[in-house]
Amino acid sequence: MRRAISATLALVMLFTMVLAGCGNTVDNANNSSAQTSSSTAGTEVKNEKAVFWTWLSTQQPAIDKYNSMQDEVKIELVQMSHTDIAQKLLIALASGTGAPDMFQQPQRTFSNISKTGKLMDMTPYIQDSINKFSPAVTGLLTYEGKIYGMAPDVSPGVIWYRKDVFEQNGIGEIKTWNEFLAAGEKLKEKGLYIMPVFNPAGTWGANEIAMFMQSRGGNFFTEDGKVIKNNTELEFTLNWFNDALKNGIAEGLTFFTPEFWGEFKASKIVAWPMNIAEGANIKKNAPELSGKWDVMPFPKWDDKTETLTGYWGGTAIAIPEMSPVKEKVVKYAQWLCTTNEGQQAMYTSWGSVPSNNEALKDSFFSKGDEYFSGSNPLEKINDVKPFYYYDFSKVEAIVGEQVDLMFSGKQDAAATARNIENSIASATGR
Amino acid sequence: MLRKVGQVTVAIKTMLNSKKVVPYIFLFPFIAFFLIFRLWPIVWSFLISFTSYFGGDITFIGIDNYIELFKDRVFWKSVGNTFYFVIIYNVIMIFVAIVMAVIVSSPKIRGRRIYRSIYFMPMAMMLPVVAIVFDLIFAKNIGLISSVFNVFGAELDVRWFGDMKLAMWGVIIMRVWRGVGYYCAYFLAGLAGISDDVYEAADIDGSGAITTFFKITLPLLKPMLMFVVIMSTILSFQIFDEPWILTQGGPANSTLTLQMYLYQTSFLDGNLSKGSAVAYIMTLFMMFFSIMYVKQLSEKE
Repeated sequence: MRRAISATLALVMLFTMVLAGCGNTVDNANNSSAQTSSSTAGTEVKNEKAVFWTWLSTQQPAIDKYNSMQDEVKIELVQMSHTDIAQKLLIALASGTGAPDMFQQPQRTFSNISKTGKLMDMTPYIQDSINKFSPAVTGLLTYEGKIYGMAPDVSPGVIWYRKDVFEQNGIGEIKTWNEFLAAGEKLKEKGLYIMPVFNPAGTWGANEIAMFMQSRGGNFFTEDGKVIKNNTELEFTLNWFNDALKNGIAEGLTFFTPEFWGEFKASKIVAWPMNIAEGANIKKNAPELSGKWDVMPFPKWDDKTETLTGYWGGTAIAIPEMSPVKEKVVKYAQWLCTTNEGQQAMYTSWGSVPSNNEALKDSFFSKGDEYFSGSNPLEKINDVKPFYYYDFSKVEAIVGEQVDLMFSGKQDAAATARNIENSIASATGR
Repeated sequence: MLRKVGQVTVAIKTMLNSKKVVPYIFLFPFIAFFLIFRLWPIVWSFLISFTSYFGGDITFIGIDNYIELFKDRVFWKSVGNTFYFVIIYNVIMIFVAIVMAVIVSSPKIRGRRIYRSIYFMPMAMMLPVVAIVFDLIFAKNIGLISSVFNVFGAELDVRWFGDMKLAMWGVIIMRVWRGVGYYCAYFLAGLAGISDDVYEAADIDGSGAITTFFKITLPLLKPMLMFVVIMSTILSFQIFDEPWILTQGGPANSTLTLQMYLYQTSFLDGNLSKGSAVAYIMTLFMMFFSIMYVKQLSEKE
């Protein structure tokens, strides 16, 4: 009898397991979505829950605002690093289960996900607003003629600098990069650095090289994705960084470590040519220096006629095709990226630069920032030339390695540039 | 009809009381879980290592992923780094763990239990916290090591994690610091299994401390030593967290390990099939080491 009871229990467990395994495929395909309010048969389902994976937890106010505006869907933010998102997402898309309803990724590596072919085609939702965005941005989110993501922001380069220290040392407005280097020499005599340099380089270094090269109108790839050989802009940029480090006007540091921020707080690093989003990072890590920092545009390269900047990148929002609420959550991306109201919510939430050029003209974006001596960083952005990010995670790894070899004195800038070109061509087949 | 139902019920009862069927019913949940969640992923990842698979369509490409890997300079760099780490780390860690275990197990040491707890504490600490602390220890301007040099009037102009020769040593030191207490606990268990009579006999025969250690303690500790070596080798082949947090594989890939290469290939480049090929090569390395150790252990026994 006891054995029969035990065996029956085992059968019940087995039956439960089978039932769980053969559950509704829609629920299984997206375990993240669930109704949060009851609905009756025949009426429209309201307030469905949608999970949004992003590393930008500061986006919460924008989400709260959108949730309060409509009752179709309730978006819930789940924070994790963008590399974690990429990892989990690729597995979820491949296995057909466990994907979020919406996610955010850097634009520069977005193609790794869009080429899976398992994202929602967002073309119909952005078609009417396409002219509001730079083709350089929408191009990154397009795969085989379809747009798989929407860009809420971009992050161009500016120069953050200590206004008080510059004034004390008689350094005025910097109009060219040679003037920037001359100012660096002057500050070096006082034991100060005009910029930090990524050492080891890693992805941060690779992206800073890319940003500077873009500000010179340069690229790693041609528009159609071929590696540029004998790339003079790349060689120039590498040489510029190498000289700045070797001459001691820049300090080599691992970015965003306690030591790194310690040098800012100790007023040893007094300027930083970096993307606009890092302004929020400076404010957060050195709040006691409020009113001492200021911001200026990227200066002109002395051998160029145009004064440009480069993009650090920006973010993209996309939706897995398998999401059961994709038609509803896409409206959040549409609102955030294509409307003035959404772009303002984005700026208020995470302080990046609107990708929507029409929205940027709004007077809302003309306010100054007390921390940066009342200056408005958005007014310090130069024009930008397109930059082509093909297979960029591979490019980041290659550039990072070769720049480290250059900084360690194992090769000069010219050899570094040639090694980068050849390695990218070999690794990507481009 | 009722008669038929009765017959079926009797048949089920008979089946549930049968010694031939019941064990399999009990085993089935485990076997099902094992097949679905353990064996199938292993088989599946092996199969996709012969394909081109980025999460979308699958195309069979034979052994192209393996050929591509063997031609990749960065892959071999990661193999070299991993072997370097595995060998250096294990030699240092096992030496330190044995020495610490012998000292702590000595009846002449007071407060042995406190030492045991202290040794084990690093294992309980969160890795990101440990990484930040070690980053501070090795930092150039505010680092502990630099400060010590400054006290003696010397200047150490080195940023450990920015130096290609020192970065891996920084990772090894941190890993030894974290792992030594854990393996020390194994050796303490091994030492507890050695009878006091053996030591008393050695003492009567006039054996000194060093002779006793090499002639008695170490040979009797060998089974535990081999177990620790195998475990530690397998685990250290999978080194990822420490270098990923501290250096992300840099500078110039000098701390890039196989596991990090696998992660980059699979999840940053999105090439799941090539990543699977890396995983299988790693498995072969680990199997080779494990078989070698086990063989040596059984020969000695």
